[in-house]
Amino acid sequence: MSKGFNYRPFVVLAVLLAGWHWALGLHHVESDTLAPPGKVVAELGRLILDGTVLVAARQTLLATLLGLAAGSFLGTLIGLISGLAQPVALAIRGPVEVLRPLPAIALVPLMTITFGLGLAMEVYVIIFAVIWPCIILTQSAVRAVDPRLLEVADVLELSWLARVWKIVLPSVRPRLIVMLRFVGAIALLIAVTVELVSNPWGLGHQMMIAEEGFHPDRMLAYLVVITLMGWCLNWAFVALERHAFTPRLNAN
Amino acid sequence: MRDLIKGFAINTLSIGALIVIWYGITAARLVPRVFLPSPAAVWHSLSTGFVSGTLLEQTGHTVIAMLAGWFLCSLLGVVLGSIIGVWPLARLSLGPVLEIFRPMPPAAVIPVAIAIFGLSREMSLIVVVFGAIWPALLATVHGFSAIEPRLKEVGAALEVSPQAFVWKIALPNATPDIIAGMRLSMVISLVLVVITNMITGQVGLGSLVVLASRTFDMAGLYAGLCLLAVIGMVSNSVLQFAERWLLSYRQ
Amino acid sequence: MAAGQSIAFDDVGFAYGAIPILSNINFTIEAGTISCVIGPSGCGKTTLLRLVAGFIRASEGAIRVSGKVRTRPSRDVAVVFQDYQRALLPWRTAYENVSLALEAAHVPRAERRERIEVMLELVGLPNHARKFPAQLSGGMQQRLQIARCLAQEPSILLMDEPFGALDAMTRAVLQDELLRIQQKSALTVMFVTHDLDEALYLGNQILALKSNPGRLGRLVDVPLPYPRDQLATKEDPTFLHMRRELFSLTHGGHQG
Repeated sequence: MSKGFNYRPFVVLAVLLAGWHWALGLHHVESDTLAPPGKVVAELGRLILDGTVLVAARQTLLATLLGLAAGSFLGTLIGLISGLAQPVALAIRGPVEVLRPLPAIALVPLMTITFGLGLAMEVYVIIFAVIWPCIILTQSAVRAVDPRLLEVADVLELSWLARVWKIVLPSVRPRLIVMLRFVGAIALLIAVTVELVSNPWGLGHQMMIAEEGFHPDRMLAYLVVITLMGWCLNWAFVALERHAFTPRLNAN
Repeated sequence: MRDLIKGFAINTLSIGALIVIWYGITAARLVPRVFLPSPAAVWHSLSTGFVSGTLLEQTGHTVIAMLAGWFLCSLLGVVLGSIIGVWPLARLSLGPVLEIFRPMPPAAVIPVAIAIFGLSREMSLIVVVFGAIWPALLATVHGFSAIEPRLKEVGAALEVSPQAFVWKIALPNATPDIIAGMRLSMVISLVLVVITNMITGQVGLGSLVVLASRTFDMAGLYAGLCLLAVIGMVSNSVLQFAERWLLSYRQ
Repeated sequence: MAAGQSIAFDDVGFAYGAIPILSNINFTIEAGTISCVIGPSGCGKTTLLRLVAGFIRASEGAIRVSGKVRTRPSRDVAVVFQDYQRALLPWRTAYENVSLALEAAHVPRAERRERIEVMLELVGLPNHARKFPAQLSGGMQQRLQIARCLAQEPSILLMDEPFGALDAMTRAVLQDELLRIQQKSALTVMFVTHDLDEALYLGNQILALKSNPGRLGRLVDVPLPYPRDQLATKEDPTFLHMRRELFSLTHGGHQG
């Protein structure tokens, strides 16, 4: 099965592209709603050359990374504390269960009233979306720490801080990195969505403007860019995972 | 059972404490009323909304849209996922293509869907299905392809027919993955229903929140948020309960 | 239960790519006997069993069951795996796990109940029919797997270190039950183990493999009478003598 190069996905992709091209070419009309793949690529090239894509991508990426950093830091901190201290876990469980299922996007109107449009509002919505999964995943990672290791800490009479720093954090690190990849995708999704819904900057906003201005080629070009960005973000976290897991494997 | 009651009591207590803190903040006017209305005002908004029926209608539309989208994408996801998972050729040719589409933020297809279908209910349903199908689909593929090799050998030694193998061994084996995927699909369905609702402005909780914010009806806005939280929590709890019941054999 | 069939290895060889795993295997397991395969780890014991099961095919020579060349798995040859927790369906109760074998053989629903109960009785699990595998101890799970294998009415029972993961007490009990069931049914049993005492205690003949590549080291008959007894048999001078003689074969180079 694994012999040679797996060409099949490329065949599927080629068929999809050809089908897309053919379906639009058949009508011989300039469509206001969709554009053939060739025009999308041309438009994408133009947008890259005149720099508009780069500006928008930078804005989206900035909000994504800021929100991801702040949200995952806060979430991990709360998760660590509540994972180690049972009373804290019990106290926050109810509120977490209530707030977690609330779609973060529904907060956009409230955040807009409170912070106005712009970077801050977008970052706050991302923080809200990211913090709950971080709390829960960190909590379960802390609980999965081998009890033997905690007993070692007891025997060595480590201080609370040393216990967290030397035993707990190193053992939850792999799971936290996997978590980062998971919430990274959420952060990008929320950033683009906030821009689609209201925030007047970034890739999502540009895409919406292109749609409203009947520029299907531009709209689809932005969709490609957004997908590529999601892809790169995912790839970056996978690389981080590899980097983080390799020394562990070598040590064994 | 005792743990269940105890857990429920603690949850109720901590949520109650949250509401009391909320009340304290508003009573002491630590935050301007414009940003944070009192719990009483939100409660008033909720009760008048339900008595007049408008809130009930909006909630109903959102819940039905969410369930319809979730049902469709679960069905499609599980069927397509089973085919891809069972049939090696489909897995080899479609698997990598799915991996290309997966990192695409689901909301990004909204402008495309609007361009094709306009601001209609069909558009919203298609966006929900397209965005929420991934967890169900990928979990099903994984569940089918990650089947324990021992069970394949057991099936071979018993000369179980291919259909019986899928039905009696592969599908039950994939069930935990499928349910986990369906739970995630439900969460994404709700998110996408709210987003499309905010954009199209049709009757529903998403548009309620947007309209309330435009008229600075903060009590109404918080009422909408509370209802969304409740919908999310209830749907998730129901699926969690179903999961526990279906997978009770794992002890 | 069907009477046993013989298994003949006719110059059997198996290679994984260019790496030879087994070569020049020639011997016969007579119908209705127990043959134990021993040898150092990595000598191809399990590969030999999987060849008979039909999960893999010999690269050279042929394996004949009652004269017919074996090419693929079939219901008259049952396999008891060592990792019982993976070989049972966790979502089915003990009763339903045994039922799988009957469903596969298209036994009508009406007949299944009685036969399942007989099987559960035979392996000592009549009171655990409604339990899921996760609720059973390791020994019970292995009994359950044996029940399912017997329910498929095999003429040959292949066992791949079936008691290797169990504690010593459970292991002894299950060895005796296996002997009891085999004596009653005249099944042909091929039993892979790394435990020389277990092999001597159970087998009519012992097949000691050498490694790199796996090949026949010694083929000896065990002249100990059945029924065997955990104390008396293991104190028998013949047992002790054979144990001493075969020890170096299995532990060659690993002493210390």
